[in-house]
Amino acid sequence: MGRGFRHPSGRVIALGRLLLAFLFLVAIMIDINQPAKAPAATYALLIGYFVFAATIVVVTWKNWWFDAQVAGPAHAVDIVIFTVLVFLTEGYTSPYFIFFIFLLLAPAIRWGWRETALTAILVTLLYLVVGLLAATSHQQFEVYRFVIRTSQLVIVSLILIWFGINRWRPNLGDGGGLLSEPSLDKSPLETGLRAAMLSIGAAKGSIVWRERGETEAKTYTIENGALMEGELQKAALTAAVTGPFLYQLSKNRALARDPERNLRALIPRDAIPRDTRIKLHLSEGLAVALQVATGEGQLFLESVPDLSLDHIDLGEQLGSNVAAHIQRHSLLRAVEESAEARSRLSLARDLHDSVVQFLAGAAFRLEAMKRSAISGRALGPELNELKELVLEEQGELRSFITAMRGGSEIALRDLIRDLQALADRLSRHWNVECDLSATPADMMIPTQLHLDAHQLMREAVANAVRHAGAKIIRIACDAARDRLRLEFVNDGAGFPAFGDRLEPPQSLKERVEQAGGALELSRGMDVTKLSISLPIAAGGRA
Amino acid sequence: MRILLADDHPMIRTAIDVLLRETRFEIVGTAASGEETLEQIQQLGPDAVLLDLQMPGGSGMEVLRNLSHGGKRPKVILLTAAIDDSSMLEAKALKVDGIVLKNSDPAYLLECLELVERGGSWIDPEIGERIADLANRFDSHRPALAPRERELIRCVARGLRNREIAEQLGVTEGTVKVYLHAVFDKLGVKNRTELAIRADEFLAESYLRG
Repeated sequence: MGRGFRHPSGRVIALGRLLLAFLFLVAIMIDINQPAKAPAATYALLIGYFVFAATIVVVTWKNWWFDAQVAGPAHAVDIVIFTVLVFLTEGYTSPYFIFFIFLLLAPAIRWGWRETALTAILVTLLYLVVGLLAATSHQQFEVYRFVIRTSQLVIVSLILIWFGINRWRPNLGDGGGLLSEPSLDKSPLETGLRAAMLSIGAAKGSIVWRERGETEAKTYTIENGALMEGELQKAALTAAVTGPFLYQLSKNRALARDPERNLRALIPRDAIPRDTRIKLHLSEGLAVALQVATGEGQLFLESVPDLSLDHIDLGEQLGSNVAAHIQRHSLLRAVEESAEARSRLSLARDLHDSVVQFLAGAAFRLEAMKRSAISGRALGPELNELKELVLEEQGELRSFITAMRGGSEIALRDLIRDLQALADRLSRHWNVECDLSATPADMMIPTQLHLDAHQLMREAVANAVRHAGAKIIRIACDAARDRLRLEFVNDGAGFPAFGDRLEPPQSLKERVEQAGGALELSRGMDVTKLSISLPIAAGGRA
Repeated sequence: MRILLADDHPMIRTAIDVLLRETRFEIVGTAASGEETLEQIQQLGPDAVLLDLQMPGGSGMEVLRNLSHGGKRPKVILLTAAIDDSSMLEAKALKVDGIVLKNSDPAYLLECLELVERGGSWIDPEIGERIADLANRFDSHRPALAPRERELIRCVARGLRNREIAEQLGVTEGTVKVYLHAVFDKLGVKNRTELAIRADEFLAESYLRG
C-alpha cells in the first residue's frame, strides 16, 4: 500500500472533519430547500465550522502534542455542531447519518470503546432531544423517520463499540505476565508457548524450535496443562511462510495475509512440514513463525475458541512477543555465562598468584635442599622455614576454600578475622609493619567479596612494598549498608603520577573494576592513601 | 655469571636465591616490575636476566621486546608459570636464550643457566613440544603479518578501542580503522571480536613464519 493512506489517526480524523464540513457547506448551498431554519445562522455556523476544521488540520498536521491537546475539545465541538445541524437542516442533504458515523469512528480510532460508548449515548440522547424539540415546534415532523434514524444510531453505535473493544493489539497483553520477566530456570520455549496459549485461550499448543547451526529441533506440546517434550531429526522448518496463518489439515486448507493484508490461500503441506504435522498431531489452528538471532521455529495453537481471520492479525503480535521473550532469555543467559567466565578467570588468577607460585617456589627450595644434602650440609633450618611457609599457605588456602564452601554469603566478622590473620602474614612475608583496624558489624557479605578483599589486600600491600618501598602499612576496613571500604595508608615514596593524577597499579585497578568497585589514590603528609570501595550487593560485579 | 632476578613473587625470589646460593651463579639484584627490571639492567649490567612474564608495570614480554630493540643486551631466560602460544613464539623470534617453566623439574633451571652461560640456548621440553605441534598445524596459505599489524592485533586482543590503539601506535583513529580492515581482509576474519578471540593463533602463526 502506498504512502497515500499511511497517516496518523489524528491526521485522518482532522482531514475527515474538514472534508465533511466542506461537503455540507456545498450541499446546503446547492439545495434550494436548505437551510430549513435560520439560514444566516446556519451558513455562519457551517463557514465557521469549516474554518475551525481547516485550522485543526494545519495546527495538528505535524504536531502530535497539539493533536493530543485539541482532540477532546474538537470532539466536543463536533458533537455540538452535529446537534445544531440536525436541528437546522432537513431532507437528504441533512448531515445526520455520515456525521454520526464520524463522531463514533473518531473516538473508536483515537481512544477506545469507553469513549465510543459515551459518545454514542450522548449523541443519541441529543438526537432524541432535538427530535422532540423539532416535534413540538414543527408541524410536519415525521415520527416514522425519526424512529428509524434513532434505531440506526443505536445499531451503528453497538457495532462501533464492538470495534473499540475488539481492537486486538492493545488487548493481547503479555500472556498472563508469563513473558514479563524471563527466568533462567525455565525454558523460554515452554513459557512462550504457555503465554501464547493463554493469550488466545488455546487448549492445545505446540512449538518446534531449532537452534542456529543445529539440525535437530526440539518440540514442546502442552495439552490439558501437561507438557510433552520431543525431538525432530533433521527438522525442515518452513521458510516459505514467514507470517502467521490459519490451517485446517482435515480439509487441506490454510489462509495467510500477504504484505498488502489481502488474504491468500496456502497449501498446508507447503506451510507445515510433514514430520512436524505427524509428530505434533496437528489438526486445526493458528501457526506462527518465530525468528530470532539464536534460532527459528514455529508455534501451533489449536482448540482456539472462535478461531477466525482476526487471529491472523493477532498471530503477528503473538509471534513477536514470544520471539522477544526467547531473545531476552538468550541475552540473559549470555550475561550469566559471561559473569561465570569472569568468576572463573578471577579464580584462575587468584590460584595462579598464590598456590601455583608458592608450589613453584617450594619446588625450587626442595631442589636446593636436595643439592645441599648431597654436599652434606645440615638441612634443619631450611626444612623448618619451608614447613612454616607451607603451613601459612595452607592456612590461606583453607580460609579461601571455607569462604567458597560457605555458600553465597559470609559474616563480615569472619572476613575481618581472616583479613587480620592475612595482615600478620603479610607483615612477616614482606618484613614490614602491617596492621588492620576494623569496625565489626553484624551483617552478611557475598563470598565473592571475601575473596576480592583478600586478593586486593595482598596486592595493595605487595605494591606498597615493591613500588614505594613502604615500611609501615595501616589498613582500615569498614562496611556500610551497601559498600565495603578498604583503606591502605603507607609511608612509601608514592606511586607514579600522570600530571596531577596518581596512577594506581594496573592489576589492582583491573581487580577493583572487575569487582564493580571504585579506587582512589591520594598523597599528602608523606604518606600515600589508597581507598577501595566495593559494592556489597551480590550483583555488583562488573 | 651475574644474574638479575625479575619476579614479583617473594616466594620465588627467595627460593631461587636459596637454590643458586651454593652455585657459581650470583644474584646481583632483584626486580619486581617491568620498569624496575629495565632500570636494574642499566644500573647493574648483569650477564643474564631471569625474567618472569607476569609482572606489574610492564610484562616480561615488554621487557624482552625493549631489550631486543636496543644494542647489546644481557642473556634473557624466561621463567614463567604459563605462556601463551604467541608469546612463546614471539620470545623465540626475539632470540630469547632460555625458557623455563616454573612447573617443570627445578633442576631444569640450573641446566638452563649452565647451557646459557656457555653460549647456548635452552628451551623447556614442554615448550619444545608445543612449538613442534604448532609448526605442524601451521596454515601456509595465510599471508605474513607485518610487525605493525602484530602490534595492532595485540591491542585488539587486549580489548582496546580504536582511540586507545591510535594513542598507543601514535597514529590517527582513521589510520587504525584502515589498518584494521586490511588485517580483517588479510586474515579472513569478519569482525573485531573474531580477531580478538583468534589473536593468539594469528600471532603464533606469524612468528612461526619468521
